[in-house]
Parts: sequence; C-alpha cells; structure tokens
Amino acid sequence: MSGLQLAGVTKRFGSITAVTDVNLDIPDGKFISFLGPSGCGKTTLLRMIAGLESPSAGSIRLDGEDITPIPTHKRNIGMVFQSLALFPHLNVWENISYGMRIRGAAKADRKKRASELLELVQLPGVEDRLISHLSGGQRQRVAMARALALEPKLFLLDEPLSALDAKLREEMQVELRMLQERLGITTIIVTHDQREAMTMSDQVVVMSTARIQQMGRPLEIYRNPASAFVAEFIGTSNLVKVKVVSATEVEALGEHFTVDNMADGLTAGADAVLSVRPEEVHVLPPSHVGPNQMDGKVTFVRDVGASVETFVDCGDLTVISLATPKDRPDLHVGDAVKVELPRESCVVVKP
Amino acid sequence: MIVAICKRIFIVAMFVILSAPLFIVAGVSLNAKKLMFFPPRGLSLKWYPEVFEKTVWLDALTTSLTIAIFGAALAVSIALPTSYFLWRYRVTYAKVLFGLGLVPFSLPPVITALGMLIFWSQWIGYAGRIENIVIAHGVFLVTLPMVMISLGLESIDRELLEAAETMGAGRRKVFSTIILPMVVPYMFAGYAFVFVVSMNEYIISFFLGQSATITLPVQILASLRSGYSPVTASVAVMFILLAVVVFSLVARFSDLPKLLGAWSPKE
Amino acid sequence: MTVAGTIVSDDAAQRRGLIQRVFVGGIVDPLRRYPLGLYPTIMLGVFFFVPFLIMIDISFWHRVESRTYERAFELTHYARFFSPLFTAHLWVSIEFSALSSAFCLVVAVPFTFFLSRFRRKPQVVALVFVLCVLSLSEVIIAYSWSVLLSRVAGIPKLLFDIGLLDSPDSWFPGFWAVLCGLTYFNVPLAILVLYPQSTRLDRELTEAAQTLGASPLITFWTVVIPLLWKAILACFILLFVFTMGAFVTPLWLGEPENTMYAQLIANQMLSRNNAPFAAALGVFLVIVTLALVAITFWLGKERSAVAGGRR
Repeated sequence: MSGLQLAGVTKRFGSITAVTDVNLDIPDGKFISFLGPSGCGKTTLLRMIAGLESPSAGSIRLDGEDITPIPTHKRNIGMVFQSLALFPHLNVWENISYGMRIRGAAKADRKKRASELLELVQLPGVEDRLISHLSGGQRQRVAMARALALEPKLFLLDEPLSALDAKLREEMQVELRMLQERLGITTIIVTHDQREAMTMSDQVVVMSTARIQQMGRPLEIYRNPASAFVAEFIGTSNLVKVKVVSATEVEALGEHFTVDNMADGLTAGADAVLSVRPEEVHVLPPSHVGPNQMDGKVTFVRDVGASVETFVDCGDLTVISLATPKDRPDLHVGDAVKVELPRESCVVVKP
Repeated sequence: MIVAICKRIFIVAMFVILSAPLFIVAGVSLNAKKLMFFPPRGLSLKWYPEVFEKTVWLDALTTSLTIAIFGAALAVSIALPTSYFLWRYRVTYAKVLFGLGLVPFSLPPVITALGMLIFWSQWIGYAGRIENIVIAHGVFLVTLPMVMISLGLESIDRELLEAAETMGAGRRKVFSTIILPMVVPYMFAGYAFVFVVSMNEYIISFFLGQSATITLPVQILASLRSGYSPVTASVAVMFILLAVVVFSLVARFSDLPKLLGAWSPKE
Repeated sequence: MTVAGTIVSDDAAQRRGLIQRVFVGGIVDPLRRYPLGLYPTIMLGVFFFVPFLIMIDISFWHRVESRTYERAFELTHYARFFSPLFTAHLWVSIEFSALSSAFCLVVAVPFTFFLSRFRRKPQVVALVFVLCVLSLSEVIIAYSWSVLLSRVAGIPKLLFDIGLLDSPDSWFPGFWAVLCGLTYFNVPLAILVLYPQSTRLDRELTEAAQTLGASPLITFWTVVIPLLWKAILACFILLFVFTMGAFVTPLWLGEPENTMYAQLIANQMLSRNNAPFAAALGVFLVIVTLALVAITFWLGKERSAVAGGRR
C-alpha cells in the first residue's frame, strides 16, 4: 500500500504529552493540512514524520515500509521550516543544490537543476544572489525549491506562510496548491490559519490538545463538525448548549428543536452542543410561526457592505445571523424578532 | 548508531580529561606519608589543616586573599564608570577609554608584569609590596568586569529609562533606581571572576612580589621545587573548591549562559 | 584623538603648542565635560598606560656592565633580535603556540558545539565546570600534568602495567609534555571564546541539512564549521597570543631547549637585571600581539550572518 500511515503515534517530553495516539492514513499525492491552535501538537507530529523527533510509541509507515527507526537523513523527504533555515554561507543555487552536492553531483549538473527548480517556483534568474539579498517572499520560494530538489516522497512545510504579509500570503496559497497539483507530491502543511487550510487542502486534520479531533475534506468538516471545538475553530458558528431528548430532538432554553444531524453516541438526557452556521440562521418577524424558533431582541447590527451580521439576544445566549445584502432584513437595534435554526443546518455534537 | 556512540564517547572523554588534573591533585593531597604519590598510598586528610597552621602557607593564603578581595574591588570600580560612560555617551573619548580597558587582558600577562615591575621599581622606587600587586591586578583584570557590565547595560531597554524620566526621575534617580539594580548581578559576576583569576594568577604576582610578598601560587611553585609535601596538593584542592563554590553561586543567582554571551532564544 | 603626523618645523615652541593642544583638547576637555571618565582615566592612565610608555622608553637604554643601565637611546637590544640564539627561542615559542592552539581547536570546536546544544540544566553545569577548569592556576595544571606524565604515577606507568609500553620512562620534561600542558590550558579558554557564536547557530539549519540527506558528520563539516569559521580563526589568534605568554608550563614541563618567550623575559629582567633587553623583548611581543588582535578585529568587522535566513 502506498501513502503515509501513522499508527498509535504518541510523543512525550518528560511529563508533557505533546501528541496522543494519532492514527492517520494519508493517501499518495494529496495535499493535507494539520490545523489547530498553537500547542496542539501539529508541529511535533510533522517533525516526527520528518524524523526530527522519535515517537514515544507507535509507528510510521511510508509506502508500506516502517520508517520509524530510520534517521532523518535517510528518509526521502523535503521540508520547509518556519524560519526557512536557508544556509547563510551559501548563495541561492548552492542552497538549492546542497542535497545534490553532498551526494557528489557535478557542479554543472547542480547549477542546471537549481535553475530548473527556480523556474518551477517562479523565481528565475537569482541563482547567484546571496540569501541576505532576497526578500521574504523570494526566500520562501528558494526554501521550497531546495526542499523539492531531490524529488522527495513527502513535502513537509511548517507554517510556511505565517511571516508573509496578507496579500503575499493569499498569492502564495494559490501558488503552493498549484505547484503541488503539478508535481503530484504528497504534501503536508502545518498551519493555525483555518482559511489557509480550507483554501489549499484536499484533507484537513484538525488537532487540539495533542489529539486529532477530526479529519476530512474541508467542506465536510465545515458542514459536519465532529465536536464543539471543530465547530468553533472552523469558520464561525453559533454554539448552543442543549440537552438531548431523542435521536432527532434536543431541548434548549425551554424550546424543542428538531435536528437532522446528531453525532453518534449521544443518548437521551446527555449534554450536548448544537452548532449552526450564521449564514443558515433566519431572522424572522415575531409574528412568524414555525418549528425550531426562539424569541429574541436585536442587540447589534454589523453591516460591512458585503454582508450583514445581526446579533440577537435570546435570553441566555446571543445568536448571530449572517445575510447577504440582497436578503438584508430591515432591522434595528431593539426590535423583537424570532430566530429560526433550520433542522437541516443544525449539527449536534459532544460538548 | 555508530556516530551517536562516538559522539557520546568523545564528550565523556573530554570531561574526563579536563577533570583529570583535579583528581590527581586531590588524590595526591590525601597521601598519608609525606610523599607525593598518585594513586595515594594510605589515605589521610592531615595535610589540609596544615595549610592553616604553617606560617608560610597561612601568610601566602592571607596575601592572596587580600589581593583578590581588594584587587577585584578595584577592577570593578574602574570597570563600572568606564562601561557606563561608553553606554551613556557614545563619544570618541569613551570609546578610547573602553579600548584602553580592553588592552591589559589582551596582552600576554608577562608584558603587564614586566611593565609594572619597571614602573614601580625604577620610577617610583616602591616595589615588592602587597599594594603593588593589588593595583596591578586591579588594572590588569579590568577587562573582565568591563565586558560583563557592558553586556548588562546593553540588555537594558532604553525605553525603561524614558518611562522613568516621564515619571519625574532625574538622572541620578534613574541611575540608582533602574540602571544600577539591573547591572548589579553583572558587577557581582565580574567581581567573582576577577577574584578567582586573581587568586590563581602567577606571573604578575611573581614579578611584582619579588621575594617580599608571596602569593599562594608563587608559594606552591616554590615548594614544588624545593621539596615535596602533599600540603601543596591540599592547597591546590582548596583552590579548586573555591572556584567551584564561587562559580556555582554565580550560576545560581544569574543567567550564566547569557553572562557568557549566549544567544537568548526568541521564545 | 590623533596626533598630527607632520611636524614641519623644528620650532620647539610650535611643538610644545601642538602637544598642549592635543593634551588639552584630547584629554582635559572631554574630562571637564564628562567628569565620569576622570577616575578610570587616572587609574588606567597612570597604572597601565604610563608603565607601558616607560617600558618602551627603557628598551632604548644603555646597559652598563652587567649590573645596571642608564638612560640613553640605542637600538642594541633590538639588534639582538637577529641573533641566532634569539631567533631559535622565538621559533620555539611560535611553534608551541601554533601547535597547541591548533590541537586545542580540533577538540574544542566539536566539544563547544555539542555543549551549546545541551539542555539548559546540563549546559549550566558544564559551563560551571569549564569555568572552574579555566580558573585553575598554571601552576596547578603544570604540576598535575607532570604527575600524569611521570614515571611513577602517570600514564606511562599505566601503559607499562597494561603492557603497551616497554619501559615506563617519564614523558616529562620534554617537548610533548609542554605541548600537552599548553593545549590543556587552552581548551577551557577556547570553549568560552567559541561559546557565544556556537549558541547563535540556528538549530533548524542543521535540521534542514539532515532533511536534505546530510548525515550528522557531513552536516558538521558542511554547515557548522563554515558558519563558525570566523570565530574559529579569531579563537586561534587569541590562543596563539595567549600561549606566547606562557610561563609556568614550559618552566615546569620543559627542558632548557623548550624555553619559551615569557621565560626569556623573566630571565633577563629578574636574573640578569637586564631591564632594557627585557623591555625590548616585551615591546616586540606587544607589537606582534597588537598586529594579531587587529587582524581579529578586522575579521569581526565583516558582516557575518550566522542565524538562518530570517525574514
């Protein structure tokens, strides 16, 4: 079997557990993101895949071969570090062809390959420049070129875009994705920016406090978060504490709500969280009658032109509704309204 | 793997070799008989009290301690204004002065010893006294505390001073309430280093003391040449213990890696 | 504060005026403006700078008989530098200094690098250890090595007992004994000099090299050493200068033919009371030292980016 398999991977540093029992199956040629807040263990996980840390328990297999005991320099990987780690004593083409140099390749071959790679990352002509004479975005590309020089099986990137300014970042996200599609190389990036993960990945692995919370396609995770954490971390969400009544019904604030998506393992009487995206929430006049509704009062309206957010105070919690200008409700602060949480948009998860 | 094992062996070997003299000297000092054998024949601690009983050793010890205590104080007293001067006013004169402070330690000590001897015995005609050595050490060892105090001053965020000034602190107040407290650990570390170096220093003490003022290292070498007795070794062991205590204290109360110039991690 | 290099006229009055201007403008004036510098200036000036000048002055004096010397201006002492005996001694010193510095660096560079990668607590302990070794008096080190290399108690006896050597002849005094002692003496110093720069070596640089297929050994050779190169060179020069002033080690561990420079100076000054020649020797050493230190500074001036390509 091909691809990367992690089984029961755990990492402890003294009394601190950085990664707990990770099981992952990463198919060949896909773009994966490890997403989570700082300290969740994503970088540690990446470093274990790279061989820079050894797991306290578990195994890592690449294309069927157990690479857990194999040291970093014998694994066929290319890695881009957060600080880029470009060698300051070498110029651009020397950096890129470093891997070739230590394998004894001829200078001419190395220079040629460096030029090829620079074309690939869309930075031609800078072969002889010193690293210190490059801009942040340029260094970024050189680091990628260097990592890809030896056609590795895995392309690993640790928060590669975090130090770039916003505009450059968005450009690089697209470029990186296109590069990966072109080369077809299995790519894993670590990021704390969920928009980045959603933009670039085939699959997103959401992590929190040393565990994997959910793995799936970006849209899937967005629509069907597996836990309150995921629901909150990906996009914005309204989270309502509820009590489970049955497999299709929950109760909150004295009202009963019918839901279509309930997580497994929630029994009647259990505490749970209901998640519904703001863009699915409907704000209706108080005279409206229907299921899954709550009474409330408008407390704030944020109109930024491209969208309108309405904050409705429903007693114990504030529900946010997002609407496009076309559907802009004619509301003012203080209006009494009804808030509808459509059954098909509600997801009930463990708290 | 092989490389990892070699690395381990190398590091351990280095530590062993570096500490070998310490063990040898300690071993010799434990000889029961009045002979310098290693490994020691018969174990006895009787040579240690002798250091405090025999006049020759006691004198040398007192001399060395006096020189170290006052010499180190002198060195720090010169280093502090010099470093502060440069840090506060970056004028050429300050830079020249600082450079002058760097010179003594950069030259081989024999030069300083020679120069000082000629100065005191030829020019001033007042030589061989303990004061000569105190001044010589104080001036020669200025470099160490000067560099350390400078490091300490550099680490002070100038915005702290500005904040103090906006709160009404005059220059003196700023110095005594903000700068001085932040620099004190470096002063102490500088003092400690100079103290230890001064205690162990040979050539300047040898040149300037002539035969009148004898420090401990000079006495050690003299007795090694004239006759063997484990007392010499026990003196050496006490030296080592002194260094261990002093440097451990410095490490305990300050950031030793930073003191020695280490890069502070960005997190 | 520069003394104008050209005094065109022999006019004594003009010369006096110039010196006055230099003295007042260069020294007195700044002191008046910054009284802070008064105390250090006096201390360093009187007790270091002046002796220094006196030493230079005396090196030109005339030696009377073999007892005293009187004020004069002659270059006889400097001429002795060219005598074969002196050049031989000088060569011995240079040889010892260069060899011991080189050997010292071979072990100190990797050791310091490893040390800088220790975790915090072990690193502090190791540093305290190094400092303690550094503070050891030359006397104690020389003595310990004489024991280590002796017939009765040291390494030769050990090897003889094991059977690797035919006879437990003492290895000291002699060339190798002095070299051992000097190298040993230099190691802690080298470690402390190389330490700052070693800590600045970004860990991710060596990790990056590993991801590109470099084994730890190759990483050390192609990444670590090139980045530490300037520090290594500066350290070599520092050690060289330092070793040129070695006194007790060659005295205790060496034979007469291993006499080093500092012993020469001591000899001339203390035993033969030949202060002028001793001073001349001293001046020569100072010039060499300052030249080497200047080179070190020049090396340090060039921009060296050791941290990995940070944005």
